[in-house]
Amino acid sequence: MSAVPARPLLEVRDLGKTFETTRRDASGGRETLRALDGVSFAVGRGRTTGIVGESGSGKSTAARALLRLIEPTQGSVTFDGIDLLALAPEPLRRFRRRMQMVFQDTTGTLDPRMSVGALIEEPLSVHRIGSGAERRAKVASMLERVGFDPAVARRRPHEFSGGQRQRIGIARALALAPELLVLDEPVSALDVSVQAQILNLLKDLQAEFAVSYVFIVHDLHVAEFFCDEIVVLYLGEVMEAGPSAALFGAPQHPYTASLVSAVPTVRRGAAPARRIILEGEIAPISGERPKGCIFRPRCPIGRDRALCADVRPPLATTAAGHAAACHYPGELAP
Amino acid sequence: MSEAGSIAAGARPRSRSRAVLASLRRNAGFGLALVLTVVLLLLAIAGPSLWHLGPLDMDFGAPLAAPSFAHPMGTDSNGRDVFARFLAGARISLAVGAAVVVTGLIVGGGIGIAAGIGGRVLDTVLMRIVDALAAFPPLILAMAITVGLGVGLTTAAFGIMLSCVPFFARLMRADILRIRALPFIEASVAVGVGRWRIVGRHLLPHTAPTMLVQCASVFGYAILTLAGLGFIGLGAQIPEPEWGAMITDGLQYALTGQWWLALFPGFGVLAAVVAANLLADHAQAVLGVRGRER
Repeated sequence: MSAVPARPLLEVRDLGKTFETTRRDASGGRETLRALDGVSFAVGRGRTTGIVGESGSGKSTAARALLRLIEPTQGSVTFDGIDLLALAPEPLRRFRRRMQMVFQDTTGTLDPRMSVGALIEEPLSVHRIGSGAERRAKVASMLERVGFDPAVARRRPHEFSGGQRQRIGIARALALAPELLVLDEPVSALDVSVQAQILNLLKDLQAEFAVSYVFIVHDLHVAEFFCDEIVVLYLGEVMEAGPSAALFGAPQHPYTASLVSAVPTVRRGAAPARRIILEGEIAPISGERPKGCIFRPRCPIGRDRALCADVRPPLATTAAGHAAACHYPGELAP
Repeated sequence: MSEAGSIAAGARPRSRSRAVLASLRRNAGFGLALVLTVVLLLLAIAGPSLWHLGPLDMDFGAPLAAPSFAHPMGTDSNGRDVFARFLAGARISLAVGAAVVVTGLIVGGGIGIAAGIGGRVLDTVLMRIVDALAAFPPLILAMAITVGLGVGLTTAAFGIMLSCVPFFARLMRADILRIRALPFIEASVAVGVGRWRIVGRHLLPHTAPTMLVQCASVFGYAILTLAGLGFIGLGAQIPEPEWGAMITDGLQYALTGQWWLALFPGFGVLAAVVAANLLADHAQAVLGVRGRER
């Protein structure tokens, strides 16, 4: 027997989340909304898995469900061999030391009444790490590491720009030296120039802290630049998953193909790619899911095929070497 | 990362105390409220011990004497010094106002916090109790309690306290629910902040502006209601030096020309209520607080 292959840090299996809505259905029960259905992926140590998809595809739900900021209704999340979904509230709270989150909304997620120093110190004090003096030294070093003068610790978040606040958010999340950082669209609200700065900082910090990233993103350029592995979500289901280069180089699922074809390029002289225009828009499904492929109503190749209407395609390895949930993988190329 | 340097070196925005002073200069109403508040507080706290006459001391030689140097506000039918009674009345009014605000904040605020952070069952139970309490108009409730427990200053104060609990409970619950939904609460959970620390460090501090405005507003309401109850004879009884009771006592002499008996305690109530409401209005505007209940 050879050595046991390295176990990934995080394994998400068959994760699902069904919300109850306030509307009543015909039989009098609450209508349900399935935001996430059977999502599986893994994140290796020190690596980055990107979750891409349109607004409403369930990306943020996936991020929050795997951290149990919302409770998943099915599936399992295993972190370093530990079943996260089985943890009681207090053990879960203590476990959060090992997994942190960076948010898109830098204005709202930093308590406006707290100073920057208090915000970065808070994770350390709630997890009882170090003495007061040690914590303040740690705050100063974290501030320096993300490019601030430690004297800014006395200031309030509203005195900073969006990019600066995101660096504060990153310092706060990394102060605990977590093994996993979930980044929920960390640069979507920022100017392009600041985006690059934050992304480079995150790349440097990943090597330095040996931290794994789950990167929620809708910008495919950013995803390709930043992620090792990609998971493509559509209406809460995985459409395609695989290494970033393979997935963007040869998308197998028509949804991925259309996303890739929609990315504008600014390279002069590059041949204009064929654009695949999807009809309709992403619409959440309440109640029963259709028995066939969930993407079929908008699919350029499967809309009229009986197989696509009747059988839900499983996520299976394709000829290209990575997985796609399509009966006709690779048929539609950008 | 050059933007960091400019923040560190940049001018500090004007401090809050300077902003308050600047708005004071623009806002005469707030200035008036501050002056009235300070004067009333001084009169209530230091006045009775500095003035040589007590509120119950009778001078049978000078009943119904007009204001003079010896009796700046005159005397009543039993020769009691109205100024001494006015000072004692200020102390009673402010003390009852403070007691109502403190109990309202603790009891009502506590109910609101429990309803806001507890589960759906606790929320429903607590708020239905509060609804039952709030179903009576506050003055009627206070009157009913006073009559039920026996007419007097203490029972009147107790009735007003009880009638103010729903104001605080509802407002606190609404504010807690609003703040609970803000993104930094989820961010605190993600960091691993415990439940009670979230309440103490992230929820409650954000309710301070709303509660401050509410306290000032209820303070004025309590003083007005206490005087109202005294006036209709359901609160303090003569000879107790309570402003409302003094007004009632003085009214019977208004037609015979002894105007000072009802006028000065009336001014006292007016000044205290106006000061409290101006302070509440100003705090509401400065702190950006939306609603207040009362």
